Amino acid sequence: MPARKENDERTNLLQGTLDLLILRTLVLGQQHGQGIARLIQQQSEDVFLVDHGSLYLALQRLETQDWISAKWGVSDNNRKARFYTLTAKGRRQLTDKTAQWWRIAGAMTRILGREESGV
Amino acid sequence: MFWRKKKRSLDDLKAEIESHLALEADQLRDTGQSSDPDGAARRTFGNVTAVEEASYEFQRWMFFDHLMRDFRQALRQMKQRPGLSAIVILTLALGIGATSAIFSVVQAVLLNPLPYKEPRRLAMLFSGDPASELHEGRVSLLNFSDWKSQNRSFEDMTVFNGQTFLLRTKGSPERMRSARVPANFWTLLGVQPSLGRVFTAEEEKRGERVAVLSYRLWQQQFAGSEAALGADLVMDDRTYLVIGVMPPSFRFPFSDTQVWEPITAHPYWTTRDRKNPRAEAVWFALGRVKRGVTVGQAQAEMNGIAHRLAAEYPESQMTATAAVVPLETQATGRFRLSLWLLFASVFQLLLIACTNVAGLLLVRGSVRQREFAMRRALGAGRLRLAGQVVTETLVLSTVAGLLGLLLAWGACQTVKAWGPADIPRLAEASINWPVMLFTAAMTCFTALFASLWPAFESGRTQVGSRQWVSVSTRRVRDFLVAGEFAMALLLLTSAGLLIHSFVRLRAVDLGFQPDHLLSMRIDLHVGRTTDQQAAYFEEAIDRVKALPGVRSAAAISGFLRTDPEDSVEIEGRLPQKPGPCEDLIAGPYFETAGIQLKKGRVFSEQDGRHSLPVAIINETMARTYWPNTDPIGKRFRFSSSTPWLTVVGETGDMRRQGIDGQVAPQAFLPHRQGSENMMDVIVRASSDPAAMAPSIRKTIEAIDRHVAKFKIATVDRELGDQTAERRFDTLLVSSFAFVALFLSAIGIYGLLQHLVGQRTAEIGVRMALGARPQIVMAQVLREGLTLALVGICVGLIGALTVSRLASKLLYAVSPTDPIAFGVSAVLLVAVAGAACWAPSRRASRIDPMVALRQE
Repeated sequence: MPARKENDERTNLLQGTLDLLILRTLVLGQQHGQGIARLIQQQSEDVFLVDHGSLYLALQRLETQDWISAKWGVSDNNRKARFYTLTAKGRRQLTDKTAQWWRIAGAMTRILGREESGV
Repeated sequence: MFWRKKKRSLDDLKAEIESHLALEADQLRDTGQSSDPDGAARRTFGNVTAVEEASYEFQRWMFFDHLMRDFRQALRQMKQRPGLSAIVILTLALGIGATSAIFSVVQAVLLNPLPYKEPRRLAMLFSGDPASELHEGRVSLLNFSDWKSQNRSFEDMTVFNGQTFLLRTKGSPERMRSARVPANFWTLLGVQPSLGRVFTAEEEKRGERVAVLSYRLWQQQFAGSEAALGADLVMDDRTYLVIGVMPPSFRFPFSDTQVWEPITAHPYWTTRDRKNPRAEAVWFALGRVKRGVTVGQAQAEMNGIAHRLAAEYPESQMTATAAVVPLETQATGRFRLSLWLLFASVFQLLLIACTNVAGLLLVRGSVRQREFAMRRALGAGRLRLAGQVVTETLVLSTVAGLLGLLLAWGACQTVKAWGPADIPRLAEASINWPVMLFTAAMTCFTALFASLWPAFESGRTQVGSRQWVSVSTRRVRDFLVAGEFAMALLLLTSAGLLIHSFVRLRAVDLGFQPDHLLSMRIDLHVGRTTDQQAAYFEEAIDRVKALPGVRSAAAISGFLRTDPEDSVEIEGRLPQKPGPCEDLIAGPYFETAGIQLKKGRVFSEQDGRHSLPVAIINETMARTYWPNTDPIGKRFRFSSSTPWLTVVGETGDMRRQGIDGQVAPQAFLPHRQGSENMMDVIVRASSDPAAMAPSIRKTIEAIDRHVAKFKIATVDRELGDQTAERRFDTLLVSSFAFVALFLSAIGIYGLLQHLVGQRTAEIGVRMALGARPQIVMAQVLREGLTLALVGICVGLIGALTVSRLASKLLYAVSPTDPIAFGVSAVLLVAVAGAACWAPSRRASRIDPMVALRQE
């Protein structure tokens, strides 16, 4: 199945950021998948359009790594939904990853900024 | 924790996605963004199935998942084609079973370490080359103590020899063998008794009569009771105290050792052994090589010592070399080659079986091409298809392996029951863990080997193209069939060479007539004068001869075994070494054995103790010592202390040193002029000799009840025992070759049958266009026979190169024996022709109309 390979590559590209965004979103409290997608979209001011398929695979991955936990509950408008909560391990991971992100972002900005000024 | 994946059910994920879609739709509805909120939610989400699939694959080890699926598929395939599956399973089971059975023997006899402490450091020490020396490389006590004190390569050395004795039992006494050993024998081997203790150095020093029993004697005499310890054991006239029992597996140094006694306990110690000169070599020596010293180094040092001793005592005429032979080599010696030959043969058989199965699977593969094309079209990768084929074969071969294990068990029991008795440790062969592991390995090996090409081919299936047998598949199948024939030829020639040897061996002129002959060993034991001995045997001969059905009877000091004397002095010449064999005879020996008298006369009543000492010699002796002269009336003696013997007769040669041995010079002396208390009474019967045994036994017992008799057997049977090992090898290799012949016939038949089936349409068209059936038939035949011939030629080249390795197992047949090679090749061609006949006939009978309609 050659198609699968390309899919995997795309996920890999997004993986780091999507995981980080999910963890960040859950800091505010427990949330279900649809809510997470919606929140990310809103907070990024519609820059990020979350692919729902990738979101659920990412949630599964995070759950396997014990960074988040899940249990079924009832949503605000009385619908059954699976709610995700950040675990202690996930919180540590978020701190690490955030720091790492700032380092990368800072470096990227410095490089890209200098290039810009050079033009 | 990668090995423990948290599993979440697919339904749970589905429910979550459902809830997501509902929530999304709710939100869209609330904000009034869409006229069809449900549809919009679904569109935004994308491919639900893809997510479910990805989640499934993420949660599982797909390799095992595929394996399980292939496994179920394989079971379905087996059910669908029970005939083919049965053939594959049976073929492989036969191969695996036979290989495992032979392996169990090889493992027990050759690979299992000997049951002693660090057996690799144990080595036998021989003076000279044990194979060519008269005394089997034995050493004198004086030389041994010099070896022991002068060497630096050995931790310790010990001596032993065997002594026969009569065990006093409730019935008539039984003759047995004891081993006379020093106390360090036990520590050197590092063995423990299973009951009681072994004797100490003090007991050895004092020469105390203590005995360690074999497990068998313990069971037989004391019914395995612990009360045996402290009981008396009467050996000859001496009473020993039983102090220990060895475990059943301990049979060193002789396989029939029943008692171990201190070397000093036997009366010979004071009367003979300690007075023996340096030249009197009657002891076997065993040593334990020091850690870090190689056998080569020990050998070099021992050679130096032997050389020095020979130079120091020239009057003893000792060999100036000593051989250090690792005990493991010594123990299995001559069986090594034949067992490895059997193993190689049976492995070849397994390869042929695998090749056959590979061929069958290829045929099935081409039948299943539509299925494979479909699978590929649905997205199965090449590896997945190949994996599927391997798994299917693995399932078949696992069933075959289990069946093979059962076969191996049966075969192992059969070999133990019927195999040659003198293969050491054969009785220990069993289907144990190592054998099972070996079987499992063979099972995997056969699966991989048999599915190698089919798997490769299945991976090459094109999705779009028409499903024809590809040229490469054809080539592989041709190659497999040719290879099968090459291996079959190799096996057939091995069998041919062994059979031819065996036939030659059977055709050897023994120089006597073994049929209707019975031999019985009678031991008068010590305590009779020479005249009493002679009188006893003469009476025995007379009484047996009087029995109805007995044609004649006689006695000889050893019918089928004899050892040469140390030296001989022909009158008028210097003494020479070695001398001829010497045997005492009583009664009409030559008439009874059926040996021809060539010249002179046989012994008569007049050749008594006080008349002229006389001898009858065989042709070889006459030729050796008196070439081109009449030996009658010539004189010789064995040593300066024995009287001169006058030759009165010359007889034909008799093969007594084994059928495959050389005839040695031989002198017969009348029993009345010599002294011997143990003789073989031989009886020529007019009907079945085995049936006579009980009445002969009764007659002998009537003379003196306390006389020990043992080894009553027909001479035919004893000769059969001599050739038992050859018969065993020949029979096994021949049956392997027969199965190989059968398998390769099936292989080539299957190939052609399939080819004809595939080409029905083509042949139909050609027939419609006027091709004669004979031509079609000839073409198919040619195709099959060409493959067979190519295989046979390759096999011949292979056989010519490897047959030399087995030359030691052949008798009077050269390793490139044209008869064996010719017969094998012709037989294989004939079988190939017969196997090709049916498919080619089928091709010639194809009805063009039917064939074309099939299209």
